[in-house]
Amino acid sequence: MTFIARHRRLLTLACSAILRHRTRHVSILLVYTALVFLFASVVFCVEALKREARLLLQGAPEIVVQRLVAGRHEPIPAELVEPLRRIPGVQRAAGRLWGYHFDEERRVNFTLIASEDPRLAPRAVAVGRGVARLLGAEAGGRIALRGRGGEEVSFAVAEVFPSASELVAADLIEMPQEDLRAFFGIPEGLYTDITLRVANENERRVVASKVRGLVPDGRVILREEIARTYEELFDWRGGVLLAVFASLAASFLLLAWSQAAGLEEEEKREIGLLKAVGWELSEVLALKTWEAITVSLTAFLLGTALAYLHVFAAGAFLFASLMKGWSVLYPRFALDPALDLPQVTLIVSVAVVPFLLASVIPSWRAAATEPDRLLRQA
Amino acid sequence: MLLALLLHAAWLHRAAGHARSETLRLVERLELTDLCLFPGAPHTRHPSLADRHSAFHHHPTALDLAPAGLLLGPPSRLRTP
Repeated sequence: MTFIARHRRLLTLACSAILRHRTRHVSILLVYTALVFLFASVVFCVEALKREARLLLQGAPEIVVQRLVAGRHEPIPAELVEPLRRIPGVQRAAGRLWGYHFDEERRVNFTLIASEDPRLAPRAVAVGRGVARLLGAEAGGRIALRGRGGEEVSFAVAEVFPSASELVAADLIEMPQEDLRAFFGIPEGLYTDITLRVANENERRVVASKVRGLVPDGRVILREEIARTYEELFDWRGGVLLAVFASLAASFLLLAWSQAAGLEEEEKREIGLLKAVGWELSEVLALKTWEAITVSLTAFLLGTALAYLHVFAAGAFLFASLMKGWSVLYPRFALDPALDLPQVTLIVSVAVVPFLLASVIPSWRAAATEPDRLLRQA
Repeated sequence: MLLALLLHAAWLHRAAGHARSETLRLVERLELTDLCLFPGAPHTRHPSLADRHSAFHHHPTALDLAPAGLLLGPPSRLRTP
């Protein structure tokens, strides 16, 4: 009998054994599927968010220069822009003007940012979808923000950013620089920070060290650091969730082990009979491995498919607030599936392999026992 | 089933390309640096630009008042002295 034909028969035998003990296997399958579902949901969510951050932050400036006073972020003088632009390797240096506006009435923070967009007339703004939803604004309408003197400042809404941009712009209000200066009371000659464009990747660290020389009271943030921040942030959140699930997984493995270790009498009789009629230890072990593989692969496929639907079709409703974030002004965005082979391999290695070991080792110990002893025990 | 999921994910990713490039243009134009996930507090809205102590800046020995701080690990750049 060929290798494949032998294992096909073993698989058929394994399936019929599973059906004979269907109550036990179905209960294990349900709990196992639920665990794979939770684990795969976290992996899918974390990876999708990390990839989204990686792709979108490609457009971020290569270097951001902030000024610190007493350890706090303070406006940076505009006269530093020109010396920074003259550093070899810097393509562009520009002052960036932005800040936060806390809306007392709605208890929400907006991010106000100045732009040189010629399409924005004085006292006109472009707003993110989250702002538009919260203030009931639409293009062509008006919004009012309470200025620093307590007076209402009205702006015409020229544009609402597309909904696809909510992940980066839900809370943004873009306005002409003069309006932002007047709104926050920031005098000419000061910016919030300075951004540098450095196309050559190899020059960025050198440029950063030169910036530190020019702005000794400043802080230099590289785009790689921003990207790393987000990698760590999502890993951290995934870790928080997985720490919770780890106790569930440990309980399940304990259950699987104790179920397999305390083999039912009928199963012991089966193993004893198989050995009595001449089955080798390796063949009994192969049969039990096929049983465990059938259960674990079914749970893996069901759990992974359910997790995929949960995260990418149902918006990960079970733990979206934990993974994505939450606040009064919450961005609405659908996660773009980031499913690839490394993720599948991770799920298999974490979810399938321990179960296989927890199931097969007790069977191996039983199969190593003399058949007459097994039959007497049964 | 697994192959179908992989293919579906690749197809959706490709389909989302246009919307993403539009967002990427906005990021480039306004030079944005952070994702809008926790807009509740400055250090959670812009974690990559936050000060070392911004979560605790209200007064000496102040605790982080933003609930999102629990879920937001400090960037490694801020953990090193």
